[in-house]
Amino acid sequence: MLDEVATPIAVDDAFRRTLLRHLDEAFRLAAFILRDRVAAEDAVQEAAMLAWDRRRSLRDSAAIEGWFTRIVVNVCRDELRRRARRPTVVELDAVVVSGLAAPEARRGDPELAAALARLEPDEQALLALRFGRDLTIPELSIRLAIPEGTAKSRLHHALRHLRAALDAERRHGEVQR
Amino acid sequence: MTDDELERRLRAHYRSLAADEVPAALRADVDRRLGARLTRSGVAFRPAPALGLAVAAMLVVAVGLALGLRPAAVVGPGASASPSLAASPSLAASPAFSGSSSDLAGTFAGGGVWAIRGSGLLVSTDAGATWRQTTMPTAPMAIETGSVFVLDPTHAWYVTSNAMRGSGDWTPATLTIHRTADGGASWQETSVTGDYRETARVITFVDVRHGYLVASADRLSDGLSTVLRTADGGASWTVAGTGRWLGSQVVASDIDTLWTGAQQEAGPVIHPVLAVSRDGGRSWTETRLPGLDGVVGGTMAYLPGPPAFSDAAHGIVAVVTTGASGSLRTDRYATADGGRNWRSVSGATVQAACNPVIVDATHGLLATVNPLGLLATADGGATWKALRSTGLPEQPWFVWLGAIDSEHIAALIETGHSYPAPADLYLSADGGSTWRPADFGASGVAG
Repeated sequence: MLDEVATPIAVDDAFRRTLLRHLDEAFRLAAFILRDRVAAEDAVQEAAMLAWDRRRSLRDSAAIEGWFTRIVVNVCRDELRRRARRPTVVELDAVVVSGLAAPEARRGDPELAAALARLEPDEQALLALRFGRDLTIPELSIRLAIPEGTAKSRLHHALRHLRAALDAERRHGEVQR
Repeated sequence: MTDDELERRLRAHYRSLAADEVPAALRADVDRRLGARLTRSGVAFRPAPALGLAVAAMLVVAVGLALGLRPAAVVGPGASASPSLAASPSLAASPAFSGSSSDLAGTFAGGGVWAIRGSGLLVSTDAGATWRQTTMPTAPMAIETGSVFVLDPTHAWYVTSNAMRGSGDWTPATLTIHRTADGGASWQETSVTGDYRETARVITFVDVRHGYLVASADRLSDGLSTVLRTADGGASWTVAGTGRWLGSQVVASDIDTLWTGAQQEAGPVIHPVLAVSRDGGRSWTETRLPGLDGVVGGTMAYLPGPPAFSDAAHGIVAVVTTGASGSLRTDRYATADGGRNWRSVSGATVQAACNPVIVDATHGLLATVNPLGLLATADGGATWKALRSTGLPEQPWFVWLGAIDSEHIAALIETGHSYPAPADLYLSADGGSTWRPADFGASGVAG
C-alpha cells in the first residue's frame, strides 16, 4: 500500500502502455507453448494482470520485455500442469486419455507437437523463443535474464530432451499400431 | 536426425503454427482492466501512509474486540490453547474461517483431521464436528501436498523454501522447517542450507521426535534427491543419504523404513516406481512390484499418492500405468510383511485420482476419476466395489482422501479449474456413502 502511494500515476500509466505494446509477442509465445489460441488469450490476459500486480518488483524498466516474458511462461506452465492434472477418461474398459497434446497440436508437425508437449513448459518456451521467434543466444539471455552460457546449456538440454521425447512418441506410435 | 535437421524441423513447425497478433477484443479488454486498476491505484490509496496504517491498525483492533475474539477452546488431550487473539498484535489478523475451502488436508492418528487454508491451520479431533484454528508464520505452498505433516493435535511441521518450485529460479535454495509442539500457539523454525532448488519437498514424521524431509528430484532438477532426518522433533536435521530421482510420494512405515514413489511427470524422467530405504534414508533399493518389471516411473508409471500403511506390516500402494492402447490402468498391490513382498490384489482400466486409503488390514478406499468415483474394498483389496456416494459435487475430482477411522472419511474435492485449484473439504460418517462439506466455523476461534 505504501508503494502504491509513492508511485506517481504517470509512471503506472507508462507501465500500462508499455505492457500493451508487448501483448502481441506474449500472445505468440503463449500460442506456441499452449498450442491453443483460446488458452493463449486467457494466458496473456492473466499474465498482464499479474504483471500489473507485480510491477513494483521490476527494478529496471528497460527489462520489461524479458520480465513479462517470464510471467507469460509461468502462466503457461501453470496451465500445462493444470491440464496434466485433468486427463479425460470416458469409460471404465475403454479408457481414452486426451494425451499430452492439445487439440491445435494437430496443426504443424503432429509428432513434433506431441514430443514438445512432453517437455517442461520452460523448455517449450525456450525452444519457441529460439526457433519460433528466432532469438539468438544473447537475445535469449536478455529475455530470460540468464547468462549466455546458461541459455546455451539449457537449449542443449531442451534439444536432448526433445530427441528423447520424439523417440518416446515413435515407440508409443509403434505400440499402438 | 542431425542437429540441423531437428532445428529446421522445429522452425518449420513453428512457422506453420503462424501465431497472429493478439485479438483486438483481448487487447481492448486488457487495456480496460489495466485502466481500471490504474484508477484504483490513483484514488483509493491516497491517504497519507502513516495515517492510513494507523487507521488500519485501529480498525483491526476494533473489529477484533467487536467480534469478541477470545482464546480457542482446548481440544483433545494435551492440546494447548491458542493465545488470545485480541491480546496478541501479531495474531490480530488471525483468520476466523468458516465454510469448507481448503488448500491441503490430512488425517492423524486418534481420529483427527486437519486442513490448511492460506496460513491458517485448522484441526479437528472429533472427525470434523468442531475445529480449532491457529495461524502459521507463513503459508505453505498449496501445490506441494507433502509439505505439511500433522502428527497429532499438538505436533505439526511444514517446510517452505526461498525458491518457488518450477519458477525457473536457479539460485541455490534453502529450506525452512517450521514446527509447533503446542498446537500452533507458537512456532519455531530451523533452516537447512544447501541447494534444494527445483525439488519437491515432502516432510513426514513417525513420532514426535523422528521424521524425514525428502527433497525429491523432479523434472527440472539435477536428478539427485536428498533425504534429511531428525531425531529431535525437527530442531536439527542431518543429511541421511541421497538417491537418484527418488519420487515425491513419500511415507515412513517405521522409524527406519522410508518409501518413495514416482510422481507423475510431464517429460521423460526415470524414477523408480517404488523405492525403499530400511536404514533411515542412507541406502535405497527399488521395490519389485509384480508385473511392473522394467516399467519406468515418472511418465509411464506413477503413484497417485504415497503408499498407505495401517501398521508396520500391512500396506497398500496403487500404481497408474499407461497400457499399450494408451489407456490408463490402476493396479493395487498389498503387503503383509512390511513391504518385503507385494502381491497384486487387483487392477482395472481406471485411473486413480489420488492416494489410496487403507483403513485397516481388510478395508480400503480408492478414489478414481469418473465415472466410478469411490471404490471400496472389504477383503484386503481382492475385490473393489464402486460406492454410491451422495452429497458430493457432481463428477467430483478427488485431490486427497483420508480415513479418520473406519467410518469417518475425509476428502478434498476440487471446486475450480485455476491452478492451484480451489478445493473443499468433505466429510463422511458412514464409510464414504454420504458426505457433507466441512464447517470450519463450528466452534472456531470466533465462536
